[in-house]
Parts: sequence; C-alpha cells; structure tokens
Amino acid sequence: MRVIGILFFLCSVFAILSQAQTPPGLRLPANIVAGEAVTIPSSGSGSETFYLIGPGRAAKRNIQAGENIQLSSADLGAAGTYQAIICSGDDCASTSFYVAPDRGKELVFLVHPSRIAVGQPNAISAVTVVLDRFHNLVVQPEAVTFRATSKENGISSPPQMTRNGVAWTRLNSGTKDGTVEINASLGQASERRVVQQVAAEPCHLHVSAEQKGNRVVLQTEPVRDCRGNAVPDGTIVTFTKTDKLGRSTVDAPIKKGVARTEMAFGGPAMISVACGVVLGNDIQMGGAR
Amino acid sequence: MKYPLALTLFAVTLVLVALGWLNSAKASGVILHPQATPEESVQTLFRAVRERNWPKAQSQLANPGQVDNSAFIYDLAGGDGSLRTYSTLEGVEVSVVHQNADDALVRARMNWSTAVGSVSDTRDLKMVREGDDWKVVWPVSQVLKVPAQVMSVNYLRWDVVNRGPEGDWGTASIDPPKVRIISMNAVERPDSVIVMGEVVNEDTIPAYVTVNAALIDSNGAEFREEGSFDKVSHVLLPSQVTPYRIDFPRLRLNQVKQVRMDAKVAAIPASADPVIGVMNQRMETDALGKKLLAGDLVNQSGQTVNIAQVLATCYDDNGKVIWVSDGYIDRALLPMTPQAFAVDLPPDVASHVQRFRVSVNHYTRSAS
Repeated sequence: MRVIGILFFLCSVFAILSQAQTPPGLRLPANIVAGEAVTIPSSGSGSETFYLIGPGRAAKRNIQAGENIQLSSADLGAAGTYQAIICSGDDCASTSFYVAPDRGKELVFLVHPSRIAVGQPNAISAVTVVLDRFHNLVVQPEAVTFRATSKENGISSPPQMTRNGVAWTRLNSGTKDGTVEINASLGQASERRVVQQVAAEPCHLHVSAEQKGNRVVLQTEPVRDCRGNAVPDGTIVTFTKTDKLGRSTVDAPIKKGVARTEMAFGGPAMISVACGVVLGNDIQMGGAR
Repeated sequence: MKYPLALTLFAVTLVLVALGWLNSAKASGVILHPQATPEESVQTLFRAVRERNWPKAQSQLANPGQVDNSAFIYDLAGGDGSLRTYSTLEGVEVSVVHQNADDALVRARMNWSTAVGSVSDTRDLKMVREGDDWKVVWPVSQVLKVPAQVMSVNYLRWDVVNRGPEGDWGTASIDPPKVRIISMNAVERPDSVIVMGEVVNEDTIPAYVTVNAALIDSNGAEFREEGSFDKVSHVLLPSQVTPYRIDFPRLRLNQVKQVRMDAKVAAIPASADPVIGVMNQRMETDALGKKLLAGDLVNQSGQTVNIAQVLATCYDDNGKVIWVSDGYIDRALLPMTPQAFAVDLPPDVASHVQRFRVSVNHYTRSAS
C-alpha cells in the first residue's frame, strides 16, 4: 500500500508539472499535416515571444498576447515533432506537437540490377519509397502499382500498399533480350527505370574453318543463347589451334553477332572454340588426329 | 752529375703522366692497343650503344655493309613508342661460349632499365678476328614486311555516361560489372608466399578489375594486404578471363591461416580492339638451361601496339593454377607482324605444368 501511495504521489506531481509546462494560451489543433497553415489562438495581454523549433527549422517571433499566431505551410513543411515555446519575460511555457506527412506525391524508385540475363526468376528487384510534396517519408499506407513493359508484352501488379513508406516487388527477367521498362506509379506520380535484358550463356557454339593459302579463317556461326537471343557484341570467344608448332590462341570479340579470326596454317591442326565455360565443336584440318 | 734528384723526379713525373693518359684514354674507349679478347670487343660495342654513339657501335661490326643503319638502331634503341624507347642499357654481362683462333661465340646479356622495371635481353653473338681485333657479326634481321594495305576494322567500343555528383538519390545508375574470382591458390616459394588464380568477367560490359588479398593469422587478425598491381589484366571484356598474382615477400605459408580475397570492380570505357593472337605457344629450354614458355604475338589489327605484356597461366593435371608469370615485350607490335616472347618458369613448377594459357595486356599510345 505504501508503494502504491508513493507512485500515486509521484504521478500527481508529474501531472501538475506537465500542466504547468503547457501555456494556457497555446491551443494546438489535434491533427496537423505537413504543409498546412495553422492558426494558434493565444490569450492574455502584453508582449510575448513565440519560438517554434522543428526538424531542420527554428523560428522566433514577437507577438502580442491575445492575438492569433499564424504558422504558414513553409513553417510546418517538415514532418516530425515540433516544440512551441511562448515566453513572457523570463516566464516560459512550452508544448510539443506532431506534424504528420502529407499524402504521397513523389516516388523514389530503385531498380536493381541494371543488366540481367534472360530467364532468371525473381532476379529484378524494384523498391519504391513514397514521399509527400515536402519530401517527407509518407508512413501511412499508400497504394503503389508496378508495371513491367517489354517489346513483347506488359504486366501490371495489383496495387500494393506501402509499409512504413516502402513498397517492393520482385520480377522474373523475360525470355527475349532487349530493354524492359519498369514503372512505379502512385496516383499521378510515376517513375520509370530501364533494365537491359541480355542473352544468357551461348548455346551450340559452332565454328567453321576455311583455308586460304597458308592461312586459315575461323568464324563462328551467329552466337546465340539457348532461347535464340544474340550474345552481346564484345563477348570474347577463344579460338585455339594446336599443331606441330604448338598451341595458338586468339581471344576475339563477337562483332555483329559472330567472332572471326585468322591464323597461319602450316600443316595438320586441331581447331577448337570456347566462350566462357561453353565449349564449341572441334575441327581437324589437314589430317590432324 | 748536377741535380740528380731533380732529374729523377722529372723522369718519374713523365712516367706517371703517361700512365694516367693511357688509363683515361682506355676509360673513354680510345683504342691505344689492339683488343685482345672477344669480350672486350663486345663491351666496346655495347658501351657505344649505351652512349647512343651509333657510328662507333657500327665500327665494331664485322658486317656493317649487310646491316641496315636504321634497322640496327631500331633493333637496339627501339621505335614506334615501344618499351625499349623508354629504356636505358644499364650493363652487359658477357661470357664466351666457345672460341677458336679466328672466330668465337659470345653470349651477351643486356640488362635494360625500363619504365616498368628491369628487362634483360640475351643474345649469342658470332665474333670473327680481323687482324689483332675482334668484330661482331651482327645478325641481319629478317623483319616480315607487311604489304601496304587498308584494313577495315569494325571498331567496337563502350563508353560510360555517369550522372555526376549532382545525380539525385534513387535515380538509376550503372551497376558495376559482375566479376567473379574463379580460382585461388596460395603457394610458398623460397622467399615469399604467392597468391594466384583467375578472374572472369561474367557481365556484358567491360570491367576494370583490381584484385587484393589480405592475409589472416591464427588469431583471426589481418596482418598483410597486397594488390595484384600489374600482374593482372585490369581491363576485362565480357567473358574474358585473366590470371592474377599477388606476391607477399619475406613470408612463410605457415604464418597464414586464411586468405581473404577482394576484387574491386568498376564499369570503364573500353575498346574491343586490337585483337592480339598468341601463336605457337610451347615450353622450351633456353641455352642457359632455363625453362621458358615461348611463342609469338601477332597484332591482328592495323594499329601499332606500343607496349605489350604477356601473362601466362600454368595449370597442373587437375586444372589448378600453379603458376602465373609475366613479361613485358620491349618491341612494339606492328600490324600482322609476329613478335617473339618468352617468360621464365621456375624449374620445379615447369615439371608439373600440364596446360597453360597466355593472355596479353596492351598499351597503345594513341588510345585514350
């Protein structure tokens, strides 16, 4: 009983002290939204000083007690906890209030990766962050729609509600190379990102050899992946020729879909081709075994 | 006799002055007596080369009429922006392989100080006696002359456009290329620990790669860190593989519990050209008994490659990387002209090499 009595006493003291902190003339609206102009009525008489301390902003004004205090939309642009202080001489009283973010107006849209091989499940990550017109994080749920558009088709997700200002989705890469546009939209706001879908590993790498005098011209067929997409130009294809003089290798880039090189030809030789971990066909020239 | 002391001093002074003049003349290469040995003749030749006194160097040749003046200078001083043009002859080690009354074979190992370190060039020179003197029979170079032609090249190039520092947060940027370390092997050598392996660019754009290794001791603390420096091909085209080698001098393998590898990667503007073929790769033993991996580089483009570096990867019968060796070529790679190369292999490694792969780094002065 004694403990409960002490607790009751302490609570009473804190309640009295907190009431003493609230200036009797400051009556703030219950719900304030970022960017809303607010009028705070005050009471009393004489000259007073009003201070407003908020996230990234502080203001000081001389006011006449009993006049309304006007807080403009610029004063309350940033969401968060503010402190209003009113002082009359050395006698000050303060109160805190919360300014909630406005409705979602802008999107920050992060898409990763910017390049992806075709046919990869859940390979593209799209994350959007919803901000209001003052760039405050909108923590209240908002409905965001994701849409992916490639040259073949377009797919939209059902509206997703943000959680703590964030909504995300994962997408499969398509089966054809090329760009895919990914949009995130919220009302009139929309953001677009482009992901490059590229061919996967080459499939059925095939080289042909043509002897021209004492040289041999080696050229691949158009290098494609197993879905028929052209492997990007610049990808290195390694040609290898083994003969009595040793082993000769040329790392040639694919240009216009094919890789090509020339080597000296001086007798029976074995020719092979590889691209990354993919091996192509072997060719025996001049009776090589 | 009057003044005996004065006369004696005068005579001694004359003798000393004569000795001094003789020595200073010898030091400056003035021949006051016939060259007695082939070594001295070769040293005189290369002293003139070091001084870039080409008329004097050519006066030491037995076949000046057969050796083209400009080809001789190109051979020793380099050209076309090659590494030799950024080199200085530091010294020559000369040894006689065999000698008869009228001819000899001399092995000259020229040590060049270059922009990328020391490079040595060993040549066997034939010598013939001419009177009291020995002269060098300079090998007449048979440089393949490529016929005049126009080579059409479909240049393939990647440029990178960055948004700059004012780019907004959250806007799309270029992902760094996907690069993977596909193998790593740490070996102990008599004076060091060497970490080596291979890296592949698995992306579709060129990558700039730097490979670093950090050594962890038995307490889990990182105690040494080194990078691959020039023992890696920094620019990797899509699907290209490069070896890397990181040396930790004055270290034993038992001091290392773990190796932490790190490949730093960035997108980089690059060109797919020139293509350099590595022809006729073979293991051989040189005249000094050293094991070499030799072959020819062929620049398949129409553009001169000023400086080339060969990176050789050696594998054992399990496909494990057991050695990475490199060497700079001090000659420019002219279009379609084979240029020989050779890189050393330690004898204990050479005996285990089952397979090897040679790649080429290159620098072209006109390229950006």
